[in-house]
Formats: sequence, C-alpha cells, structure tokens
Amino acid sequence: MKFPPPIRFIVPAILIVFATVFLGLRYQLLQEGEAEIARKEVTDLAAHQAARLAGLIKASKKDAEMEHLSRELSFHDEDPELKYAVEVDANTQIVTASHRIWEGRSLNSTPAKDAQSILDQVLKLRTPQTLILSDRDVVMAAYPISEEENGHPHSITIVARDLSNHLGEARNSAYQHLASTALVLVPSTCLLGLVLQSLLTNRIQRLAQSAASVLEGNKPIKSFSGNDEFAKIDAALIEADSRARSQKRSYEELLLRYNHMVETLPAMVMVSRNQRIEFINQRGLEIIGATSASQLLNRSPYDFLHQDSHAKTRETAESLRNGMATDVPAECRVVRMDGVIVDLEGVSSLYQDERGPVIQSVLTDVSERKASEAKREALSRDLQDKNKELEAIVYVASHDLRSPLVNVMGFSRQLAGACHQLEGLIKDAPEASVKSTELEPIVHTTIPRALRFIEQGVIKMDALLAGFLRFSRIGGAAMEIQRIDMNTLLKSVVGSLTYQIQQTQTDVRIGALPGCEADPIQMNQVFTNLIDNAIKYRHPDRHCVISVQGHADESHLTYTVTDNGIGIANAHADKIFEIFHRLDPSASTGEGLGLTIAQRILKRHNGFISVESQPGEGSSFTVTLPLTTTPTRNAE
Amino acid sequence: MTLPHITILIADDDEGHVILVQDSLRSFGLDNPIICFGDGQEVLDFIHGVHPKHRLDVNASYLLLLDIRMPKVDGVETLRRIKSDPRFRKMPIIMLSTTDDPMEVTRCLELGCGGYVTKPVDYPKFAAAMQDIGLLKPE
Repeated sequence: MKFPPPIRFIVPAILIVFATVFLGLRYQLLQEGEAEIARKEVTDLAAHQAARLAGLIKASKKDAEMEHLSRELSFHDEDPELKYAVEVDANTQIVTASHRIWEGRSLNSTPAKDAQSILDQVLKLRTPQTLILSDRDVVMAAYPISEEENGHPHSITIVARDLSNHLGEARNSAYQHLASTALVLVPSTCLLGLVLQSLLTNRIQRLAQSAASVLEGNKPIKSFSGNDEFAKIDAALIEADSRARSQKRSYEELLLRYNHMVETLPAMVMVSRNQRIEFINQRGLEIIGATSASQLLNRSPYDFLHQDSHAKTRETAESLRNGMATDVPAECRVVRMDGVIVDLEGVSSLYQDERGPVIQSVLTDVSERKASEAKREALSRDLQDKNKELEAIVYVASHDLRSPLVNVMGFSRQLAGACHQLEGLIKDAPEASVKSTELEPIVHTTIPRALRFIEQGVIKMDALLAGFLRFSRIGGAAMEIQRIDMNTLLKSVVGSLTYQIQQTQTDVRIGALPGCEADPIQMNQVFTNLIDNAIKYRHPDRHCVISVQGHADESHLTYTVTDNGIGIANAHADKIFEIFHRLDPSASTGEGLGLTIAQRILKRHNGFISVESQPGEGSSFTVTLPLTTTPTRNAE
Repeated sequence: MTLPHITILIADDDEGHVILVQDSLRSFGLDNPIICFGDGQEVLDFIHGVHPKHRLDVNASYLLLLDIRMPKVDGVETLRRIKSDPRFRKMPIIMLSTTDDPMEVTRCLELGCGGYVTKPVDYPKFAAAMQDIGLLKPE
C-alpha cells in the first residue's frame, strides 16, 4: 500500500490506535492504583509486626521470657504471606529469626539482599520508628530496638511480607474495570468512526472524484451546497473549471483566427530558428513551389535563396540577432523548386520565446512588379533616347535649316543691291543703248517685289524656326526651383516691358501676390508673355488696363492676369495655347508662341494655365501652381 | 574698320556663306588677306603646316572665323583642339553660327572662343565681337 494511504483507511486506523492507547493507559492507571492500595495495606501490617516484634524482643531480653517470643515468632509460620521476621544486630548478623535456619547467619545471605543498607539507615536513627522499604512484590518494614544510653539501636527487627497475591488481585480488579471501560469505549469509537466517515471521508472522496472528473476533461461534480469549507472548495473547483474552459475557448478562437489570418495572407509567412524552417504558411508553400510543409520544415531557408541574396540575408539576420533592429525591410530572390526565380519583398523581425530567438519573415511576391518596373525603366530609357533623338533633330534643324536661309537672305540682299545699281546704270545710260522702257518695269517693279516676298518669306520662316527652337529648348532646360517673391518678379516683368507700356499708355495694377516655388526665369517668361499679350490684344477704343491678382488656398496658388482687351471668342479659347496659333496675324507681331510656352512651363511645374474671356470685354488668364513644386522629368 | 597686319581665316563648308562673309567683311571696309577652308580639318592642317595649298607664316597674325557645323572636324572640336595647343592658344577665334542656342554659345565661350556671331553677319554684331577680343577699340 502506498503511503500515505487513502483517507478511508486513515480515519479507522487513527480511531483504532486512539482506542488502544486509551485502553492501555487506562489499564496502567487502574492497575497502579489498585497495587498502591494493596502495597499500603501490606506495608502497614509489616510495620506493625516489626514494631510489635521489637517490643517483644526488648521485653524478653529484660525478662528473659523467650517463650513469648518464640510463640510470637511461631505464629509467623501460619502466616503464608510472611516471608520472614528477623532481628538483626549491628553487624548484620541475624540474632533471632522466624525461621530457625537463619539464626546466627548474616543478613546478607537472606532473601533480604539489601539488608545492610537497610541496617545502615536504621542504625543511624536515634529514636525507634518504622522504616518501610518495598521491593517489587516484597514489602519490608524495620523497627529499631533502642537499648544503649546514647540512643543507638543495638539491633533492629525486619519483617518482610509477600505482595504477589495482593498484586495479582489488583491486576484482576484492574481488568474488571478495564472491561467496563471498553464496553463504553468501543461502541462510542465506532460511532465516532461512522460520524467522521460521513462528515469527512465521504466528502473528501466526493471532492476527489470531482477533481478526477476535471482531470479527465469532464465537468466537475457539484455535490455541496452551503457555506462550509467543502462547499467553498467545490465552488472553487467549478469556478476554476469554468474559467479554464472559457480560457481554452478563447485560446482556441484566437488560434483559429490567427491561423486563418496567416494561412489566407497573400504573403509568405516563415518562421525559422537557427537557420531551420519551423513554420511556413500555405502562400509560402506556393511561392517556393512545394506541395506540403514537410518538404520545407527543418530545412535551411538558404536552400531556397538565390545565391545573390545570401550575403544580404545573412547581414539582415545578423543585425536582428545583434538587437540593432527589431524589424528590418527584407528583399530577396528565391529559386522555386521548379527553378523559376521569384523576387520577394517584405519585413523580417525577431522575437524571443522560451527556446531562444526566432526570426519571422513576411514576404510578398513582387516579381510582377519588378518586371513591370524593368519594363517601365526600359520605356523610360526609350523615351530618353527618343528625347535625345528629338534634341538632335532640333540641333540639326537649328543649324541646317537656317543655313540655306542665311544664303537666301544674304544673296537676296545682294541681289537687291545689284538691282539698285542696275537701276542707277539704266538711269544714267544713253537712251539708245538700252531699251530702258522695257527694262525699267522689270528692274523697278518685278524684281524688287519678288525680292520683297522672298525676304518676307525668309524672315517669317526664320522667326518660326527660332520660335520652334525656343519652344523645344524649354523642355531641355534645367529647372532651378526656388522660393520666389512674386511681387518682385512682377515688378521686374513690368520693368522689362516699360517701352510697350509707355507707348500704349497701359495701366498695370499689381495686387499683393503670395510667393511661390518655381524657376524664376521661366516664371518671368510666363508673366512677360501674359502681359505682353494683354498689351498686344488691347481694345483699340479704350485705355488698356491690366490687373494682376494672387491668392493662396491650402493646396494651390493662383495668379490671375485680367485685361480689358478685345477678348477671345469661345470657339478660339482652346486654340490659343496651340503652337504657332495666332488670333489675328495681321494685327500684331510675334510668332504665336507666348501662350504655348507659358502652358509648357506651367506643366513642368505641375501647374496649369486657363482662360476666361468675354469677346469685346476682356480676358482673364489664371496661372495655377502647387504650393510646393517638384520639377517633372525632362522626358515629357 | 581696319585690322592691320592680320590674315583672316574663314572656315565654312557652305560656299554661299563663305562668299557672304567675305562680302560682308569687304563691306565693313576690311581689305585684309583672307584664306578660306572647307572644314575644321583643313584649318588644323594649315596651322600644323601640312595644308597642301596654304603655308602658315609663323610671324603673321591670324583671326579665325569658325563655322560650327562642318564635315570631318566640326567647329567646336576645332576650337577645342586649337585652344588646347599652347602655340595657338592666343589666336583670336570668333564662332560663326546659324543658331543662337544658349547652350552652344556657353559651350564655345567656355572652350575659349573670343566671340560668337550669328549669321547673317552684320556690322553691329561683328564690330561688337571685334571689340570683345580687343581687335577693335570701342567707338
């Protein structure tokens, strides 16, 4: 049997031990009490006999009446409990004895072995008295026989009586008392046992069963009501079980939730420890091209990493392990099981569990994006190449197209000069030598008119070519974005147009303008063009008034140039920004590029220009710029 | 306008342009000797003394009027080579071009040309360039 034994054995065992010990102790007490009474009686008798014997001896010595003594002593023969009665002298020699055989012998040879010590004690006594000595089942009493003048006893009497009979009686009496005690004790102990069984053992057993049921995963057995300790333990068990169940439920829900999350995530989730894969989700399997996790678990992530990514990945893992960062952006290439290379991007992070550091990587497949990036880069390169080609064409055009123009221009001038000379020669020549009437209209009218048209055509073509080049150069010019005080800039624009403004008596009104971020040279060009246009297209019947206003809201800056000029018909509103478009070529100079250039400049600043106009009333051009400007790429 | 003791070198592949430039110079009153070349290579041959027709006179002073767009060696390259040669670094050079492209103007000025004149060459532009290189005193 194991120790400690079950409670159902412990209670009876305790009761049995208790009853036994109680009875044992009770017997001891009873027996000792009875024995004590017996001893007292016997001792008293022995003392009395010793005193009487001493008196007899004393009298007999005076009267020499030995007969009395011998009679007295002889009664002892009929006393079965008398061991002996003797007179002992100072030398422990037995003087007189109840049994004659002992006379003249030393006390030491009698059954009273410690007679000498008795004698020593008695001899010290000056006055006659009883000394009682008990030894097991023998009781001895001594009495001195005082004889000498100094009071020292001359001899003593000793009476020894047997106690054994009395002790036996005492035992019997004790047994009888014990029996009556047991008669009460046994049933009451059994009763106590039953009470304990029902109050303690059964209840503890029920608790134990309930606990066992919980351990087996079942519900606890509710078996107690009330407010006692058992009911409290029972309630605690039920509460603990219900808490554990609810915790288990929420844990399972949590597990299900995170599991579902991780498994449906459109990214690879991989957990590795000591360069061994411990977990990988479904998407991870798909990315690596595995059919089951067992193909990957416990293998090194480096088995699937492309050679190019090894160093970078080691570096990332090292920085995580050194605690330099808790999570770092990760980028790597993976070789799928079928050999296809996949680009992954995401985050790697480190956490500690009880077995040490764990690295978790969440990576998405960015191969498509990388491919489209590469495609876009190629397109961008292509566009740059095209742009360079275009620039080359512009360069060639600027030189090679103008080259013949220079010749046409130069030689038509020479021709004009020659014609002029010829005219003079004809005038001075004698009438007869030349048919001046026929030559005169040719030299005077036909040739100069032809030359005039040639020159006009050349000038026009030259202007167009120059404008075309100017326009194309805006795309190529580097932008220097800086903070501009627009009030200062407009002042400078007005300053550069002073001549036209004075000539036309134009009134330019400039309000308070918010600053902006832009290329100052290009902004100057925009506003120069706008104000120049407003002057050019002024109304012939009224004073030209131009007003410039600015406004800033939380996302944009707007500048409006309003005039009271001839205005633009709605049908033309879109066309005015077209290259080389001119509303009325005969009415003004210029190559029709101002607004086209302004629009292009604003586009480069991520802004735009718009127009509102009422024919005959005036126009209002609005320039819109972002609050901060990032220059767009040259490749437009 | 007079430029005494100077031989004017004109490098241009367009025959018409050469005639127009020559005529312009004559019209400005210059009667200096003029040597014409058809491209940059001929100019370089000339200054290195290997031109088949024209001999370089080491004691003479030269003014080079250089077109930019030419076959073989273009004007900018010719300018660069002359200016990187210590013997001819001081030779005044004026670029003659059909374009006023600011990038090109800047490039030539950085390479060390004395002036930049757009065609057709007229008196004010040419005189300003002459003043810039110090061959003509400001009026």
